[in-house]
Amino acid sequence: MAKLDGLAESKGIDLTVKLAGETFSNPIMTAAGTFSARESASFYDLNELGAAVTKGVSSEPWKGNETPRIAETFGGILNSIGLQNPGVEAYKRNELSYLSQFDTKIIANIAGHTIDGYCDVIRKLNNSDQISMFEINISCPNVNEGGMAFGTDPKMAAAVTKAVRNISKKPIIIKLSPNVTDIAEIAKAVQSEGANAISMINTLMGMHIDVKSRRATLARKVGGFSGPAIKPIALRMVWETANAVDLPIIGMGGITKGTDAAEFIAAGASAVAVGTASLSDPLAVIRIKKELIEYMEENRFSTISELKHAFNI
Amino acid sequence: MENKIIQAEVLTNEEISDNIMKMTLFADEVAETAKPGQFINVYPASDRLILPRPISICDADPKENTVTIVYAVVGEGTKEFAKTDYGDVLSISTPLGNGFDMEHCGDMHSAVLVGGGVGIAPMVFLAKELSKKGVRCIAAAGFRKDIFLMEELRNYDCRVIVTTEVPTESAFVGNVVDCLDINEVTGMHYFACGPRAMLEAVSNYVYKAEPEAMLQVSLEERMGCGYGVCVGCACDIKERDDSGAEIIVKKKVCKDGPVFNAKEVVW
Repeated sequence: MAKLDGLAESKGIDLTVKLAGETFSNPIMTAAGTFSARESASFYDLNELGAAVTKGVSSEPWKGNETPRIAETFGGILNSIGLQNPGVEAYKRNELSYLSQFDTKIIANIAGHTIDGYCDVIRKLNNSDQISMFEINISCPNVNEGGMAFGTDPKMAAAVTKAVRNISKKPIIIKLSPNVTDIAEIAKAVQSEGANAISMINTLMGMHIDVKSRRATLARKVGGFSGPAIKPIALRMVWETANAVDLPIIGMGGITKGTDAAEFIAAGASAVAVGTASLSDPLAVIRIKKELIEYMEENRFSTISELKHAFNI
Repeated sequence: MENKIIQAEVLTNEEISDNIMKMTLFADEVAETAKPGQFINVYPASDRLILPRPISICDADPKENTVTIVYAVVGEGTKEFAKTDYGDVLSISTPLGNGFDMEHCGDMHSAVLVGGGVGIAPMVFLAKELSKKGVRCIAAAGFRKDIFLMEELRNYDCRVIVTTEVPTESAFVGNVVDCLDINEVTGMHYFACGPRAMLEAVSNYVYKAEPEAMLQVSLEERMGCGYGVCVGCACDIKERDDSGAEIIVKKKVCKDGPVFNAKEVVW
């Protein structure tokens, strides 16, 4: 048992959560794109994670966008990585094989330019026993084809969900884009086609201009906005979605401390993911988990479900 | 867990040139393992500044448990660091990145170190470590106007030649490549850190003069995490695939670099 799970147990706190038929040791996960097995393990014990959500993987290697790909803004960052990844075969060889030494659940985040692209990756990972669930990224704002184009149209979102649901041997999480007028509508569309869970939110489209160089800071001009500045929006969207669908939600968007995680659970999330905070503090997931335990202890919550139902929102 | 975030006490923090600060921190875990060419992440205390500032290691002293960094004050994060004083505590990482390779240099008797602006900082630490190995060093340092860290280099038995873009009393006017050329600097082992355009020019100069020379360059790129998870700082590097054909792959500057073999960099 991981150290913090033991600490929770010694205080009479049960951190386990159930989501789409899978049981997780605790509700703290990594957000795709801010976790890399070896690099994250260079700072903390991966066994502490409820789930390791790996970086978006596509059928073939993707080169990503030109640099600069990162800009800092007030309380947040913009990124335009563009899902650079070595492709599914290298992912299996390097990331998955390295992760096999840990006793933590793996959620593979799947990227594609087309519906076939997503399906292709799933076919190649379907028989990997290590992977518990697939998270379908229909919300990346940094690629020209696929990505967010699927996540901002209910019909397209439903079509992707249907296709991946048909071939996947594992539960499917659909990762939603906040760059829509009505996120609950998209959530309902993916629920109707058999999605097993929802994760939200991906980044918001944003921009930064450098007044000295008189250029957009990002080479791609626009990028995905994340970090503590977006938390109120993410929280509102999780709450709206939780009220609209029956699917479990993995909540994320600016979670920086333990009480942020508690807020997302209170808004209706079954689990939470930590993203940008892992850039500000490589040990953020561990600290947030510890702070959540402390918060639960102070408020005498013995389970995550108790915490969730103690709120009247 | 080979990496850590530690709380390091500031011992000194002084302006050594216009907007250039030199800071010494008490950080035993950095001092023990640091290699020239590596950097540390310095984490701003302000909640609204999200990203760490990667700053290259200018010197490390395992006996005194200190690490020295030199940084340009360019934005809000470095302005915050510039205000810190003796006794203040900063959150920093243990050394990150690969650093200069001093092991696979064959029979190295002499080395040429090339630094542009604040890129001269890692050359101080490199000169120290190379001189310990009995390697004679010469440093070509290029600045816009103000000159700094020359005494530190000389203290480590490094001969220094200096150039500035703006005419000054003490330096040759021009860029570092002109400086290498005029001084007829030659060698088989070069190490360079500075702006990308300078590195490319140095690369062209070195390989024209001596195609078999070894040039290691420390690349700059806007970084996110600094430890290889976000893939913000990518660069194109030439590699050979299994069949021996040349391919271009994306590498992470923070994790796979920042030091690369200049022959493999796609400029």
